[in-house]
Amino acid sequence: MAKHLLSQSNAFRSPKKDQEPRLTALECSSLRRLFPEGINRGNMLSLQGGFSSGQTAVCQHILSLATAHGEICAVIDLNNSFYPEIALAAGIRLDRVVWIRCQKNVKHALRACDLLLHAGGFGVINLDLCGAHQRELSRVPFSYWYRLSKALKQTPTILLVSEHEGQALSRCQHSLRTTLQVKHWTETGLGDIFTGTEIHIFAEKRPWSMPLSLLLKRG
Amino acid sequence: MYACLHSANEASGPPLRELANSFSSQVEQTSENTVVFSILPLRKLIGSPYQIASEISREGNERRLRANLAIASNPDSAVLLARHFPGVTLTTKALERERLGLLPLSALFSVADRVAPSLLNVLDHWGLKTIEELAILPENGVVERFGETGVYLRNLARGEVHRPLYLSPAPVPYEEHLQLEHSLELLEPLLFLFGRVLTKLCDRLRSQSQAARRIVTELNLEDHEPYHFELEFPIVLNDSRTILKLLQLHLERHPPKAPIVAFILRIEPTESRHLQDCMFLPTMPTPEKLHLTLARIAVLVGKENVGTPALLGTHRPDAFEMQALPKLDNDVSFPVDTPSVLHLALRLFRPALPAQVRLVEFAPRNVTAPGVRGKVLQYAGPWKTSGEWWTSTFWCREEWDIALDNGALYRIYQDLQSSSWHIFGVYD
Repeated sequence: MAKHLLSQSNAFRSPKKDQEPRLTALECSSLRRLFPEGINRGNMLSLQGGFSSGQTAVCQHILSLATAHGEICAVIDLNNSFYPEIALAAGIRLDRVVWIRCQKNVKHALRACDLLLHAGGFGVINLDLCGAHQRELSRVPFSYWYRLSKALKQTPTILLVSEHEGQALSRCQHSLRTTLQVKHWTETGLGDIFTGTEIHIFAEKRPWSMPLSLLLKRG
Repeated sequence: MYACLHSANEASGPPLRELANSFSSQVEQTSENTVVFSILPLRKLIGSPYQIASEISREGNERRLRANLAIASNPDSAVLLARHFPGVTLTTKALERERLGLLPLSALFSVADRVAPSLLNVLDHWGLKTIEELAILPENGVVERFGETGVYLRNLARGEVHRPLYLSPAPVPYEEHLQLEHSLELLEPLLFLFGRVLTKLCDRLRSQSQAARRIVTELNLEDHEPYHFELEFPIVLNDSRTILKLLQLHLERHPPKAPIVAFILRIEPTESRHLQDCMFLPTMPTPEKLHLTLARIAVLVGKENVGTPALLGTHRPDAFEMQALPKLDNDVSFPVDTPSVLHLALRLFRPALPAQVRLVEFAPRNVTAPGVRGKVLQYAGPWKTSGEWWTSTFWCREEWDIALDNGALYRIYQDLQSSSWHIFGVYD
């Protein structure tokens, strides 16, 4: 009888999922096939790929979507490679971006990311670890990624970790790998013009899914 | 009853105010060199208006002030009399109007701020020259022709405008000085004292609806020159804990060279910030917290490496400046215009990588640079850009887009001044 009553009563139900506030996901029409409901807040998203694979373009596109909504975003730039002029052409509102140049110091980059996450209120934080030495990245304790993902929970922030190899992969809710497929050159009477590339994006944690093909225009 | 002190010398404004403050707490600074104050409370303390005037004159003489003093039934009449009659003018109610009536009509307009000066011409055309001539005009006729303004002017001429004094609060000092009994060597006890002083200063700021724009700190050191530094805040602050943390971060980076025996904290106040947030807009970091976080990050990576990029008005490649804070206002228009096309990004090498390029028929064929090496499979270019030949930032170069056999796409350029090749960035 008691068991029956307990199963019927709402009062004894676990308050877990119903009471968690749901934050509006960041809608991204270009990546809709990978994120049908948008990119969820409070998640870590890893982007991997070599040079010219288009991972920076995808990161900048997500940043441009967030800044268009008036959100404050941050770029933690390990190798001082962020180019504001191209970022502006990609649609990023530069006056909404905090740019932190870490002068190749991975420790500083991770510490800055931690501080920004604890400050709260950021829309997207892009932790750009591309070009970091593999040896240096592997020295980062595994618990650090856990700490970052813990700090992200229940915040409106999306943490984009872009890197050549997947160090943060295991702690990321989503992991994307980008590869360069086609380079587009247009022939003119005076020679060729480079117009853009076509890339494929694979969802690493869903190996059965088809890659998403995207066209990147040269700005 | 009101007393007015007026001096022909404009520089004597503050001493006049001090003199007025010594007699009354209700002092109006009418102009740079005119103050008006109420003497009604002084009647019990000093006596008749004559005795009050004598006391003010005696105090003024002791302070070596040269000013006119007038005592009248209302502030405006007192100002008019003090400005136009030298020495001490003490009037009764009946005598007051008689004295005022002698003055030219233009004198009235120096007191009546809210009346358009063009009205004086109209009255002049009517043949009115003195205040008395305006005062004796029938009220109904003045109302018909000038409305409310006319009535106000006529009452002013008759000495019948009774208004409260416009009191300006005395300036609040935002400076604290602390002399220590024993010199301090460690930062922690100093911060404890800073915290106490800052709490007091910030309470004072908040009570005046003000906030700090800058804090100036002066530390008197044992056997050393005083150590002096200023912190300017990109956003105004009135939270003592935030200011204390910023002081701590600064002192950790630039510690004083000797123990501290005294310090002065001075805050430059400004209007506090009031923001009405909108329900439908995304959350943002609170300005105080963001400022503090960026200051903490600046300790790690350097102040010049933290901020918001802003492009400069030039075609020079990679021309930007770093600003202190991002824009924190909610100027988002709905519906939001979101970018739909993905643009290829360019990752820069700063500084540009010096490269060795082998040319075949004036086009790059092989590129060798630190970390980059390969055969050029395809190329586009060259595009010549130059500019700012009139400054030291002059540039002149030929740019190429190249695809190497390692699969990556680069932008390289040849500096035409030095003929050297560089890898500017990689497309990504």
